[in-house]
Amino acid sequence: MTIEEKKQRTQAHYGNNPAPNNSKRRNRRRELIENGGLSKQTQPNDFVPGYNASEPAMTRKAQRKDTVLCFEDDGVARKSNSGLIGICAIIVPCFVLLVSMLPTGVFDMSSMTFHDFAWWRETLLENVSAFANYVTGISDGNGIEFVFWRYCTAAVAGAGLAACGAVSQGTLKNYLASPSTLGIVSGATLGAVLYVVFFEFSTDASFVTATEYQARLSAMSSIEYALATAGRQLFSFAGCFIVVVFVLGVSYLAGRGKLSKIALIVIGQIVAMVTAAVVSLIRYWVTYEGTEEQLRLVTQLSNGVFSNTITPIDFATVAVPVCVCLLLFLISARRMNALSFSDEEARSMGMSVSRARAVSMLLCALTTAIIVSFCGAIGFVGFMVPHFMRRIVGADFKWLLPASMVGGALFLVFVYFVMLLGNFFNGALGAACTVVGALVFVIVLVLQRRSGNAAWN
Amino acid sequence: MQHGTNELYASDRKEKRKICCFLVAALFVVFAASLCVGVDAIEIYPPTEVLHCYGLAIEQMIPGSLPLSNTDLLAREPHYYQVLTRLSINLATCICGALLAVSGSVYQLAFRNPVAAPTMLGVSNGVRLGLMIAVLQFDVLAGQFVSRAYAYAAISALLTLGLVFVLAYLITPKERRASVSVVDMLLLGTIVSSMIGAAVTYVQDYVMTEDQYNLFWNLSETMSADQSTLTWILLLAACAVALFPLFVCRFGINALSLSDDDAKMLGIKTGSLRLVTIVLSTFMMIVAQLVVGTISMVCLVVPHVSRMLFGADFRRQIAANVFIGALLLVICRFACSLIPFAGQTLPLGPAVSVVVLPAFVWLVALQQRRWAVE
Repeated sequence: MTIEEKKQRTQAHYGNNPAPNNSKRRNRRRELIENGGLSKQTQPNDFVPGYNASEPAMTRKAQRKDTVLCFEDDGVARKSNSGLIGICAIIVPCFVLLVSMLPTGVFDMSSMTFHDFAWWRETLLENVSAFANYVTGISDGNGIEFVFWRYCTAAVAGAGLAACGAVSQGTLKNYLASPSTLGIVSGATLGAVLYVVFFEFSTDASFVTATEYQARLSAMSSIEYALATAGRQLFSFAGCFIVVVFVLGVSYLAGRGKLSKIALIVIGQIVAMVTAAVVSLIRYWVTYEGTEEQLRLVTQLSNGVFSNTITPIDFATVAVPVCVCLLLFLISARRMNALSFSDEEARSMGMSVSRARAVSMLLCALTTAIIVSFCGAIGFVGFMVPHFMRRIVGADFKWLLPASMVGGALFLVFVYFVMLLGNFFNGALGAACTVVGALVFVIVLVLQRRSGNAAWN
Repeated sequence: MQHGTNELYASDRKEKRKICCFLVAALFVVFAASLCVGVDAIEIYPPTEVLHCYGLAIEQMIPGSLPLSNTDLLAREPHYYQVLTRLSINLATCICGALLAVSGSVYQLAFRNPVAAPTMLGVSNGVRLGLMIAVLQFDVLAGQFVSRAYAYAAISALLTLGLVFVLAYLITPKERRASVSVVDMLLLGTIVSSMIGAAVTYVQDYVMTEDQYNLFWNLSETMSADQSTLTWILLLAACAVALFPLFVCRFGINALSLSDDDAKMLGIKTGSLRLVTIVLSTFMMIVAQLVVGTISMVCLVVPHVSRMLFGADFRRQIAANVFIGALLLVICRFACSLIPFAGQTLPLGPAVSVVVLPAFVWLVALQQRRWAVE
């Protein structure tokens, strides 16, 4: 039968009237729509986009927000955070510049009183002019450029560690995670400490002239040269990667081919404890059977220090890889958003959960290895800053990652400034970060009470 | 119902009962072997000499015997004090291993989190803080005033725990203060623990002199050779006050792993039971840490191992943890006392970590079931 014949048969049976609509609900809905009390948007057909071509199913703004990964904004202070983060990203370099110009030292050692305002103003102007001289190349900056590059390193290290912390917490879906829970920081420290204690090529500066040193350098084979110049970084990378690969491998083994998240956390904690224990053993050994120089270096590495990066080249060695890794994090922010749902939902979005977790962990390891190899083990930043930022910008990684980077940079620069002010903590940056960060965090938690403090969402 | 209580586990299956016998036998064998090692120097005494020393000690304890002076004792058995100190150290290590393992397993049950460890609430760093204050105040004499050092450590541990509780209370909004969330407590425990740990590490590295550092290291990482009666009083108190009640309430603690409604239906008060078990296991951990040093690896790993072998039933867990924890620490103590390190023997804490890691990986590889992927 053709369609025409079917139509004629129906028409013959029913007449020209359409099929009677007996549904009360449909009638009621039709009445409301005709009377204007109910917008056509709520009709079922409008959920298929494009069906009603005359009226789009969603407004433009709703379409932009209507990704699968849009979070409800209970508890989030703002609807759009791009302006805030943009402002903060401009504030960070200005802050770094300003802080590096400030005079360090609150106390006048000769008369044991606090410096007055005139001293502060004079020293500030001196520093600014010296820095201007350095930048324009007129003369060397009288030491101000060392401070400046150290502050830049502090900013970059803070950003990297905080981003790693946010990624760790999101990947493990655990509020107590940080880069140090998986043993990344302690593995890198272990590698660097092993190098310093066993393989450091000590160049006794009083006996070797510059030409001899150059001659020795050019006489080395390529492996020796690499070890002599970048040995600490190589060992730190190696330590970090061995730890991460080991932890990931055992987690895959425990999950019988898939990455088991709970095994990741357990094995990660065990490996972190093991590496920290080995580092403390080495430190004990060096105290009694090692040289002064070794002891100083090992203590610095376990406690965190910025005085190793005083030239632009040092800063670039830290900043370039870390910035590359941060860019990679920012690019994969949506994937990390999907990871914070349950695994089945993430898989239904087409994401390979194990691979995403493993890749995130490896990137974290790379960033932390670079930072630790230059700056030693700085622990608390990766734990605290993402918690903080989550209270302000929400748990969406699109905002949380840049906010953590900005917050981490500001935090570490601030802590370093406080430390330099009165030579508090004797240069132990890790202790300063932890104590200052913990105090600030607890005060904020107590002042701004909320019920979902440690929930991931 | 709780996973595992209806199924056969290693201790049920006849062919796997060998594991239980093997554990107990291994514990006795290794313990006996480790009694033959000296304390001050790394030497191994023949077992006959060790038994002669014990016989002499028992003779001395009989009320009617002739008390010998030190020179006479050393003349008869030149290594008398070494052997007895070794016996006391090893017994204390054994008991501490049991205490640590049981406290770890109770924490994991009470927090329903397989990575919970008693160190999470900041108590172990509180102990270190107290020891640091004692060392700084008494300088080198803290080695003699061990009881005062222990008192400082215990008080500061309890103060840290109290600080965590108070802060957790302060952080919750007023309308929810009746039930403080466990998650907040863990978060604050992590923060406070990191802060105190960083402060102690800073003081240890930058402020202490070498003698003080040596003493602090001895007190907090290795076992001090001063085996006073206070140590034994503490250990026995921990066993009587904490371990025995946990054994008595084993069915109730089992029910803690159910949901709160199911447990209440069984007639068990979960809120107070959870609080009491956490306090008891914290006390066990403080005592064990005072005697043996910070070994958080035992608290974390041994419950997993005993769960793999014997199932999650706490009635089996508590016995299994006692034996496995004791065995682990005795083996590590035995190995450590044979390895020289910087003028002394290897400290126990780091060695435990290094031993546990390959053993745990091997067990994970051997296991039949798969760890949860989600």
